[in-house]
Amino acid sequence: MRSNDVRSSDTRSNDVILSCRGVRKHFGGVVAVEVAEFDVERNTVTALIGPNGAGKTTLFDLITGFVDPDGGTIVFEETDITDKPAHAIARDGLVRTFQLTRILNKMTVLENMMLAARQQRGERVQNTFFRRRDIAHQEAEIKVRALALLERFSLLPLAYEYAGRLSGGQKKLLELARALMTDPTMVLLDEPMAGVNPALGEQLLRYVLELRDEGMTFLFVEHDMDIVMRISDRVVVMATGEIISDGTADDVRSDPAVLAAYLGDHAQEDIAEAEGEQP
Amino acid sequence: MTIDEARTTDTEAPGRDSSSQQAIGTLIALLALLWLFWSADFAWVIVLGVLIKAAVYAVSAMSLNLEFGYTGLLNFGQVGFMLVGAYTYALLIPHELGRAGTAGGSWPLWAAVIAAMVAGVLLGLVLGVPTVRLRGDYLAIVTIAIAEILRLVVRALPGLGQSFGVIKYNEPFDDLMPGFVEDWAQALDVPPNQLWLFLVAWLTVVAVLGAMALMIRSPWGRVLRGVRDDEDAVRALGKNAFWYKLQSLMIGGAIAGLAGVLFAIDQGQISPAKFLPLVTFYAWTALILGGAGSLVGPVAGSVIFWVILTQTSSLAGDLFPEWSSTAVSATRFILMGALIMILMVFRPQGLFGKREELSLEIQ
Ligand SMILES: Nc1ncnc2c1ncn2[C@@H]1O[C@H](COP(=O)(O)OP(=O)(O)OP(=O)(O)O)[C@@H](O)[C@H]1O
Ligand SMILES: [Mg+2]
Repeated sequence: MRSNDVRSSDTRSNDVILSCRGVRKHFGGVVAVEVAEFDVERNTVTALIGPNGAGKTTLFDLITGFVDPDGGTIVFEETDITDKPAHAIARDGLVRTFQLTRILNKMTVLENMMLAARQQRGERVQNTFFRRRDIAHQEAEIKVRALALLERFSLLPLAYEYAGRLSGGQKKLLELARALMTDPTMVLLDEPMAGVNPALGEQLLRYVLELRDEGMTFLFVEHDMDIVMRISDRVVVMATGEIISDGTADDVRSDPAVLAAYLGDHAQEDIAEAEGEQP
Repeated sequence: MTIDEARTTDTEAPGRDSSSQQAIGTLIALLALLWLFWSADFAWVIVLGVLIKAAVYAVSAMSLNLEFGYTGLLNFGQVGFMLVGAYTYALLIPHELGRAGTAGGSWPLWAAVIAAMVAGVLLGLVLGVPTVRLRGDYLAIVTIAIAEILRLVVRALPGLGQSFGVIKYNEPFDDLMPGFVEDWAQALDVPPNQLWLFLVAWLTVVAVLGAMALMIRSPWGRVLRGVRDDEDAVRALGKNAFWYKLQSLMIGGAIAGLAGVLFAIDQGQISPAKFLPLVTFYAWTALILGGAGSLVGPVAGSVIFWVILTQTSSLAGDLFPEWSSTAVSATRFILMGALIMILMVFRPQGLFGKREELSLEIQ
């Protein structure tokens, strides 16, 4: 089905930002991920969809270094990141959010944001004694940037609340805002809109598209087909660890393999039947 | 709130110890001090003796606070770090060693103090590298084991004095005493070297407290607190959580080494029998009383702990004259245990801790 995607095979040579080859992960007898070939192009929004347990989150874990693959290679911006630790991958500009939000509960919303800024001089312990002025200066800059992002995500009034006090949807928002605070090149979002109110979600999706136009790359997992169809440049479908379809939203929607994966084998039989009945 | 309003608000606003909690904590610490002075057989010797112990354990508890209160690392082998600091210090400066009383050591005092702190750093490193990647409770078990191993090794090795330990190493410290201390000591009717140690010990407390404040209220401290909350989240943001935990253990180790030096000076002689796990639990009690994750908590906790322990030592004897002295002195530990239980029910965050943070733990 990969042949569906004409663009990716044409422009792959210079536009690919992330590429996975033969990436495998088994948990005991469960084949969680078995991806032969998977590329993401720079400057696009790619959706990764699939039924529950398809291996989407595990693929994210593998790419971002949170789970070690059993085999295969993962290349990000021409660097092999297969064996890199998670923090080094994030520092390279490939940042992720989690399906179950990972908010720093005992810190304020603003502290969550400020922590994420990269290359902070004050993160070296010796500087906390000898370069206090530098640090204060940089802190002020980071704070302004953090507050501006919080405003965009409607979280500004909560800046000084403990993050643990936020609602589920607000935590999702904070995690997305915090990921952007790291100045990433590419962002992996695991169900970013789950529990977020649709109006705000709409606004954020537009923001995501804006960021894409400025050069950022997004790969996101989402169960809401409406959102997927609306903002993705390309849709990739996973089922039982493998990529079973890949193309534009319309391509994927009309792919019988996708329908089968979502609705189970009966659907496949039904489809076969339906097709057989056709004159 | 507009951005401009938010910008001018203190970044850590609710993160700081709230003022009412601080007021209550300070009040209780002051009451404890008052109790120390307000006793029938008041003497400065006793007061200074208690406050020196309080200072030693305050430094030790601040080290635990960095590791546990701010990084979430469970170190139950604090006495091992203090042992390493104490022995490094005592063996490097002029001293007498073991049964034979062999003289040795030629380092200047300042170099020996630095060496003691470096020894703490190295122990933190050696201990941290294999364990810090594991789940928190493994570190706790490994640290208990290491502290016991260190004590038993010291007891076995003739080069370290075996069970006789190290003695007569306090001359270099006493030699540094400035003249005015002697005049003051005369006025208070205390031995000059005790007053000298009291001053040095509390100066150390203030210095460590200042260093802690600088480190914790910085982006570095922010990452540590992030690691305490959820190290995977911190990792996903590009921070090397492993390295931060290691740094916490190493700096905590240096502070514990310093506590070991003060401990050695206060004790006047060191031997393996002085480094029982009890020392670790005293330091933990001081931390929990004062409040983990607050800057002054461990200092106040240590003062309160030692005042209570001292002032209640004869309490049961006064009430029950027929009890044996062993039974009498044991009751204070029962009291201390009961006090901590009450505290955990009504104020689980300790005197200076932040209750909100506890309630946010369960998510
Ligand atoms: N740590 C683990 N240990 C054992 N099995 C695991 C582990 N993580 C994932 N799995 C299994 O791997 C498979 C893929 O899980 P994954 O979380 O990647 O699915 P998903 O596509 O993200 O699903 P969902 O849409 O429900 O989030 C599942 O069968 C799951 O049970
Ligand atoms: Mg998932």
